[in-house]
Amino acid sequence: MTPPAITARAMAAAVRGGADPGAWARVAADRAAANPWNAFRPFHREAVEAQVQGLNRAGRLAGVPVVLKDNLADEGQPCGCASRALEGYLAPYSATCVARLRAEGAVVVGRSNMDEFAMGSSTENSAYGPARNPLDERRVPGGSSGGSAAAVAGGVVPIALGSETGGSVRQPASFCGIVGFKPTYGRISRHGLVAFASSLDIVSPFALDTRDAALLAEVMAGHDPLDSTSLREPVGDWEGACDGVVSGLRVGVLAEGEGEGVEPGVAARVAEAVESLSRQGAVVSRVSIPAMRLALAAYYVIAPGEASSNLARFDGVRYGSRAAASTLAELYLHGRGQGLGPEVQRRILLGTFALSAGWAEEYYVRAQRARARITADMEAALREVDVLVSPTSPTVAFKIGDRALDPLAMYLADILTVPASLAGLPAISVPCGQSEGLPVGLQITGRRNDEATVLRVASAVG
Amino acid sequence: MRFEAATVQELAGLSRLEVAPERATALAGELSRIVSYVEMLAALEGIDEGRPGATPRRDDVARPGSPRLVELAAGCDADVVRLPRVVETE
Repeated sequence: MTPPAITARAMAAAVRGGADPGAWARVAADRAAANPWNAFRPFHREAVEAQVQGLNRAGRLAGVPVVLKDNLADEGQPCGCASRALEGYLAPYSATCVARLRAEGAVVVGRSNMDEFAMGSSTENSAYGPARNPLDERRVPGGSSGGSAAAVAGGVVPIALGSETGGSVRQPASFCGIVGFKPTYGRISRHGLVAFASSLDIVSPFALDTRDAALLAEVMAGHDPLDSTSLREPVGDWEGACDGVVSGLRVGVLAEGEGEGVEPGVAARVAEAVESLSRQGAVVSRVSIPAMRLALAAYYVIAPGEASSNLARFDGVRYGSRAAASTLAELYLHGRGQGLGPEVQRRILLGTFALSAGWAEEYYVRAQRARARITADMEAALREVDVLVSPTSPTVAFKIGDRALDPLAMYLADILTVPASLAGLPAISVPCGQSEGLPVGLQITGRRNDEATVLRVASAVG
Repeated sequence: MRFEAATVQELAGLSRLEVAPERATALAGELSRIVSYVEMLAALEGIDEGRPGATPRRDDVARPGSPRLVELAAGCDADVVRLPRVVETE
């Protein structure tokens, strides 16, 4: 029994029908243990067997193997965030999203490689070494949730969890030819997700198809009193929304997604996907939101600002590796200097600068105003159309090392995903063909709390 | 905005990060480039309208931790607080 190309729904249906509940998980665990594409972290086989013994055989995810990004807490397991600073750290409790998956019968078979503390777009900024794209091992799988994306794209598991801050699930989904779905900010609890930028962070699923992504998100979503930003609105039938038709829906093609830097092959595949929606009865128009051009600049002020504050806890006292030191000040300086990697340090310094008394008005406050403008303009556009579409990424997966020495070039990989993150809107990346033999993703962004329409359109594409 | 190595070291002090001198020079160039890009935020007409009330801010000076916190800690060694083990390992 091999898992590739079998959906989570099919696996769970087999288990509910009487199949061995541990069969899928054991095969997946064995494959993950070999660590293909450097996508995985060691996970104890006994932990897999323990889960199989007690799993819910009637659950919506009965017996389905799943991989967790290394920044999600799972009681008793390492939670290293791909950082030397958290080497040896074991999570003392499980994230709400992980507990909800297990309640529906899912089996965690491994943890996945990522950019350190989710800061990156290629999964090269990792203390575990770079992850590779299963479709072309010379290329990155995207990031920061690249290990989880590789695990699904390579057929080890049908579903996996990542986290989004500025596109860290949608962009790797695009690079790996799978589905990555970011619900509205606050839909899925952040309890147990190691914080990067708290006003942006959200747990998000990867899957082979839109319906599995909808199912996985639906299982995890819903109010959680342990997260003060958790939404109270009812979740609804997201899986069922995938049955809907798009006839009559208004689709806005973002002019900002057609600009400079978008590869011709990417633009062509997106245009074909839009044409397909039009043939199915969708009403297509062109939409421009000029403020979106500021999104990346705003993001790279706000996210590092929040990171500089959130990561202060990795001081060798509360969390983090403890360096040899003779004073408290030395303990902080040595421990953080040695434990945190170059990209994390760069963003902490950038955030400290943006929040400093001398520069906060010019950078942080201005970025917050830009964020408010982008949010208002996107919401206004979404009163005229039902969804906005664009490429997920301007390019296909780039080669390992190509952007590693140029932080700004790496940041530009997020240029089309950060607007929905700043606005807190639901967005999905679905495969829409290939360019130069590599997958292209179509991004669909919807209204706040209207994941159903996003999933409906996504199902019509993929 | 152009960063110098000294600026990076000042930010590193505020961030409680130890940055080697050669790394500070490289970071100065990287941060200069990133912040130059970010400066496009000033470009959108009207974006500075309706600014919210200013938030009071502290001076940009790294301060030592509070000695009072150390005094109150259940276990301490010089000025390092010893915390109880949370997760027991074999």
